[in-house]
Amino acid sequence: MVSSETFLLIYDISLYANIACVILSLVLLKYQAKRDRLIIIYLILSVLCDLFSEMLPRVFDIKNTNYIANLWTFMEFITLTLFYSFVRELKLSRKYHIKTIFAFTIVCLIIFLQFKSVYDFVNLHKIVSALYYSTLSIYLFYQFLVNVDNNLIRTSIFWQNTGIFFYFTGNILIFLMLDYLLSEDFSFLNVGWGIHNMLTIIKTVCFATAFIINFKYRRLND
Amino acid sequence: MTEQSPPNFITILLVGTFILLLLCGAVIFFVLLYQRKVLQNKLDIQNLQTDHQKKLLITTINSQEKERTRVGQELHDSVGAMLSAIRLNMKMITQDPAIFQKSSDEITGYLDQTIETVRNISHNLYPAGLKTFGMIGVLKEYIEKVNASDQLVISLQVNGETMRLDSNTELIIYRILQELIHNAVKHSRANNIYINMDWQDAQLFIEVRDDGVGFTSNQLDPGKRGLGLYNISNRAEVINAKVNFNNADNGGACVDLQVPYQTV
Repeated sequence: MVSSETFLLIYDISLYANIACVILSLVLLKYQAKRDRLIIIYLILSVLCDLFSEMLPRVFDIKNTNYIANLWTFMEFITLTLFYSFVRELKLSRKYHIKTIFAFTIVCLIIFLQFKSVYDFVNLHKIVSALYYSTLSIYLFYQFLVNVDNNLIRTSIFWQNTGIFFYFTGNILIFLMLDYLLSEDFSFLNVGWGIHNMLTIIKTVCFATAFIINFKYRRLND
Repeated sequence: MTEQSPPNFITILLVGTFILLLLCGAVIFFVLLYQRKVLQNKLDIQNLQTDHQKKLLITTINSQEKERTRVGQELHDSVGAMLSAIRLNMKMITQDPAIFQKSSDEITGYLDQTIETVRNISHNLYPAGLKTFGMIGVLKEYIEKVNASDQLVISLQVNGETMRLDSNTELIIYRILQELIHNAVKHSRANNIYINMDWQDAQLFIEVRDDGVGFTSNQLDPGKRGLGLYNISNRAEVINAKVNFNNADNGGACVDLQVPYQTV
């Protein structure tokens, strides 16, 4: 088995990668379009949630930070849906995205009002979110195939979608098995958490690539 | 049983996630590969179109130059020579009024020949009767001239109700037929040319057959076609017509032209 120090290291790397990516995106902010700025907001929220989850037990002695993770899943869903609503290649109307946000809010309300408390570690809305974004990113890839216009590797949307696709598809099994991982030995949770953080690193690298591509090509256009 | 299950779950998680990531990678790889192929195809088509346009331009320029050379030569050799002769006769009259009658007859003869030559040149540039008599009318006139030259015999058969097409389409069809007849005279060593025109609903089928040596395999290959046949294909393309070059059963050349038309 891999030691827990290794998993902590992976977690640290993913957190620092996120912070580095946020800094990079802010430096290159003027080259980013509206939809790319939503990814920046998403990354900032992700870093803030991670930092709060770290700080609260240490500074304020608050042990239970599950509600931050639950809140994060909700915010993640909204920011990414808003992001996809700006993706013209997807060919889905704004109304569709608004309806999706509305439906997901209802799902979350049902989960937290009827079945679980916000202080519990809930995986159901994470599963819904992961399945939704896996499907949506595959659909966007399909649209790329149908409407081939320019070299995909040189577009930021390709890298952003790739990051989202890897992250959510790779996390599906972890979210499905979360209850089991939480109920077992801490080392099992470490494995799941380690994979999750590695996927976060992949996603962050993809987003960073997208920011650099925007900088590279928009600067050329300017 | 319960003691064995925890490691199994971890294995499932690890293997399952690995497989999912592998699938993700495969999907992205496929998307990129497919996209690259499509872009390559698009590029190939674009290159082909550029090549085709280049060839078209060269053909057009060559045809124009050929025509200019021909007209220039004809003006120089016929009209120029005859005008010089007229000038000479005029000079002779001024020098010796006694030969007025003889010279004036010669001048009249030269002038008639010049008028005829100019008429021929202008007819070759644009068949004057096309607007009035239509494609069939000028074609018949052209066939009469060729038949009168005793080089070969052209038979024209028209089936169905003859229509008037827009002047551009008529001119292009006329030029195609002129080129085919010219080819038959120049290259195929034919004695007879049979032109069959069949007017059907919104389609005009034209078959031009001869009893010459036919096309060579190179001429039948669209990539290796000569300037003349390439010119015919291009002209046909302009009026959305389909053209087929074949060899007839008797060995002669056979060209089928299918022209969609709208009546005017």
